[in-house]
Amino acid sequence: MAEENFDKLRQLLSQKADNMPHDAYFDGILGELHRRQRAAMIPAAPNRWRQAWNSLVETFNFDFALNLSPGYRYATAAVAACALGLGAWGVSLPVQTGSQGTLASTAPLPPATAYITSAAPVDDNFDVLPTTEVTAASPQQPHYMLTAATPTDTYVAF
Amino acid sequence: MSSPPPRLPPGSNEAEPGAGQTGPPDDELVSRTQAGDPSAFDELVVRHQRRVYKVIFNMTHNHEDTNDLLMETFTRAYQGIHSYKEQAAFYTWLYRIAVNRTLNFLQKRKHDFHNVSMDDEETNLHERHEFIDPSQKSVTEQERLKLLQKKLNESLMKLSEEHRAVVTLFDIENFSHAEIARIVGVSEGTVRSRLHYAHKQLQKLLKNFL
Repeated sequence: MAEENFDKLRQLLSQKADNMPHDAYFDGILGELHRRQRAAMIPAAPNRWRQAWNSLVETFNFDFALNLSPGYRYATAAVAACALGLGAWGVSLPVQTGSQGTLASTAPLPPATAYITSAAPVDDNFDVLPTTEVTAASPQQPHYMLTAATPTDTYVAF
Repeated sequence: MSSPPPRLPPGSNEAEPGAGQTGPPDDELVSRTQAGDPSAFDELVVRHQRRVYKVIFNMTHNHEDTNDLLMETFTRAYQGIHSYKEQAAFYTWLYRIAVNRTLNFLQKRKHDFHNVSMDDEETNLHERHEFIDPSQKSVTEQERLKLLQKKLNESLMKLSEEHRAVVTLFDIENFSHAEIARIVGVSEGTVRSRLHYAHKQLQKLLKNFL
């Protein structure tokens, strides 16, 4: 190590020993230390979740839940979470009040009569006929049409 | 530049922090603290606070961090005063707490520092470019020394935490190799090796200014 001469470097480093804060800073260290020690002795305030849980336990007498085994506790929590989720989902569903519900914005369905393009005469006595026989050109053909039919039964008076 | 201050022999009373101060010796104050007298520990704090501050500050180069670490060091020392054995000097034990706390802090900060944004990197780069070369003849001697100190601080921060700790304890705080070995918790040979490597690195980084 003889080839290296660190004297200048060490002289420069030794000058750093003089870099110190003012005396006022050191005068306050003891007080600051005592203050921090006192603060460390004060128990931390419980968090909000803990406070909410405690109030729930007190309000609804949930003591039984605390006495459950951990497995049951998780199951209870899962069931409670599902119930809450379902409840929240139910609340978020649209509520129809008269014609001003959420679905009111959608186009109303046409009345049933709109599907009948050629009305057939209705008599007291009628049969069901295939729609193709009645309205061949109808764009939206219903499954059947009501139409008048010739009476097939003959009643004979005695 | 004059030669560095003479190294005091290991275990020299003058090298001991708090030497020359009036009052009971450290061990007596420790015994009183262990017996439940907190005012005795206050006296130990007042006696050692400046040197402990210097050790921590020369490793962190940040006053706020130093202040926090100083408080933490004394708090830990007070909490663990019952585990202190009189096999080693009290100040060795105290400085060991300070150095270990600081090394842990620096390791954690280095980990966080890796997440520095590119903006910060660019800012630092600009600052480096604006740095005036202390070897220039135009600057006055006082300015040159100031800039040299700044360059020295930058170079120290480029060393690893372990090397910086050894340089701080040896060159700035005048601890002996044996004392540093006890404080840092390594062998004397390791201390010498780290010191030599650190000196070489610093010499290299400051070759234009020394």
